[in-house]
Amino acid sequence: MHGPRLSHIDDPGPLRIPPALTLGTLAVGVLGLLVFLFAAFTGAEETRQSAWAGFFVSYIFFFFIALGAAAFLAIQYVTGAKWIVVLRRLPEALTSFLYRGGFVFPLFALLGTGYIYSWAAPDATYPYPNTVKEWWLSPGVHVVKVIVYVVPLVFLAFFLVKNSLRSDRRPDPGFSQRQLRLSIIFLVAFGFLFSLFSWDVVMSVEPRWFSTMFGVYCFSGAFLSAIAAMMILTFVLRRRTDLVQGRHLYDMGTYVMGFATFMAYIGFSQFMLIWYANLEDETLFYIRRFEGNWMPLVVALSLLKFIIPFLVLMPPRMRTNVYAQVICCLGILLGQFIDIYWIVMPAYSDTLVLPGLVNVATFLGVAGIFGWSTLSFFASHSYLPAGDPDLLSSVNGDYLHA
Amino acid sequence: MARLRVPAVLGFYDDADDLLHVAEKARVQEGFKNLDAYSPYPVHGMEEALGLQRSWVSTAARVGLFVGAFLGFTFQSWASAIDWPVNIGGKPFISWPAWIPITFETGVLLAGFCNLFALMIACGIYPKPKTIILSKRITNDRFVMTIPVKDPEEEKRAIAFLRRHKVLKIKIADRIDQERERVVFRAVPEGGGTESS
Repeated sequence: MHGPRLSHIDDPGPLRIPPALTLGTLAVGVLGLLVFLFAAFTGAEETRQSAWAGFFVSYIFFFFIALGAAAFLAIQYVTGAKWIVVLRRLPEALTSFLYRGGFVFPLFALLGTGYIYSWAAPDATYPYPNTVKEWWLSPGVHVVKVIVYVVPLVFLAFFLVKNSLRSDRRPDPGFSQRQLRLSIIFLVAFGFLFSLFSWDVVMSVEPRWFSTMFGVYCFSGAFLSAIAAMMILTFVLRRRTDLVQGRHLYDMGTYVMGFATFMAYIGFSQFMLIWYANLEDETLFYIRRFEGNWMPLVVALSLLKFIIPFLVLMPPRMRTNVYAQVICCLGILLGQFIDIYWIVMPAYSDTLVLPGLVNVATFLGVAGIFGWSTLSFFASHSYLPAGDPDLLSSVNGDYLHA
Repeated sequence: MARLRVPAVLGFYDDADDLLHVAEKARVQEGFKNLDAYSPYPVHGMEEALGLQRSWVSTAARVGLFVGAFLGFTFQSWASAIDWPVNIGGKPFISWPAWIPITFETGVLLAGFCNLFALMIACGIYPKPKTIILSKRITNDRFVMTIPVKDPEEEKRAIAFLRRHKVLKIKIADRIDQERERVVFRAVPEGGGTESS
């Protein structure tokens, strides 16, 4: 329970990651994306459609993990949380995807607007002609919207991480004040821009349908998958250092369980209100996603994202069991992918479609870039924020009785 | 916080960390049993240090949760499908998604009640609170370790152990006066510690 109290922690330096691994991940990423580009620009019309859809699902999945991690980071700064300091490099590594290539994906997806969104297709028949919504969902406005949503979030997240990295080399007495101010700005911007991003970029694949809860729904998925990804990195970090202790795992596990519950709450609230009101414009989303063999995905994602983690992590001793947690978190990540797939793909097909080879290659492509940005982050920066005065508190557990 | 076992040697400290370390040593190295501690606020890690088992309070809450959820769901099904079936918007009589919020609420309600009453019973403050005050300073700035002792031999050992661990003051609770609901103290052999009371 009580390890030896430390009075000083040396900067441990970066993790030793074989350069072959980093380069290999990057190579997988580049190859996968080349396959995607080949299919998206030279394939038959049907192949292009499917390639762009797969690209959209893959990039949203990783982009949401990175955004969720940035929000997690900002929340820890705003609440002045000290327990997280020893683990802070993990959300920072995930966030680094945003400015190390991640921001390119939503911008690049603009080239495929005509394939991804039915309202932007050349022969589009918009369900509400001559309304503001028709103008709002037009390709030109869409370009402006995506830039306005993505660029500020990426910039703020970049500074959030960079300030913390800078404090490693040069301890900064004003560090927590500055990060607090930046995090508040980030969270306010995130609240607006992430909701708008969810509505305009993700929800508009089904242009007739709208749900004001959709932003929160996407946030809950993004946040949960970011925490799940952090949990998996915690497992890796724990093999390198014994400073990450049982109580850190316990707190992370509580976070996973809490946000799995939050996810279910938001998902069910959205479904129940629409199901109960039974309005034509609203139920079409769920009808298309329950019929035509799409139902198994609903069962899978509710099991993976809520029921299994909730029941498995309920006993307190399971929340210090790193294997149970990692298995639950891998399930959550799979469930989050299924969730996005289930939201997006029925817009293109009335019956269940499984990912094709090009889609798998595209997913590996985005995953490779994501993995490369995480690995090279750990290879070039210390895995503990040694310059942060709260690191000792986090390791010694002083925050528990402060 | 179970009831105080008497006779017991009480060691007074003014620091939560000291209390934590003394409790762990008393249990692990000296092998004292049934240790308890009193503090002005919850001290994290105290349960592990004292070697307390997980209480049955959370089990009671869990039972309350499942019973409450089951009853809530059953009552809604009975009311709208059997007792007074009403066709609402062409939906089936048992439209379970609409009942989830109420099922959740009844589950939480009963879990909350079970938790509260189980806690009161476990702490011995049900049906009426009986507070036995060891020292008024426990609500302010003192942390107290209680070591129940069986015989004078063990009592001596406990006193010696506490003295070795920079105790501020030692008291011996001899018995509990049930009528007046207070602890009767006994004089400590060879002075009471470093702090004068």
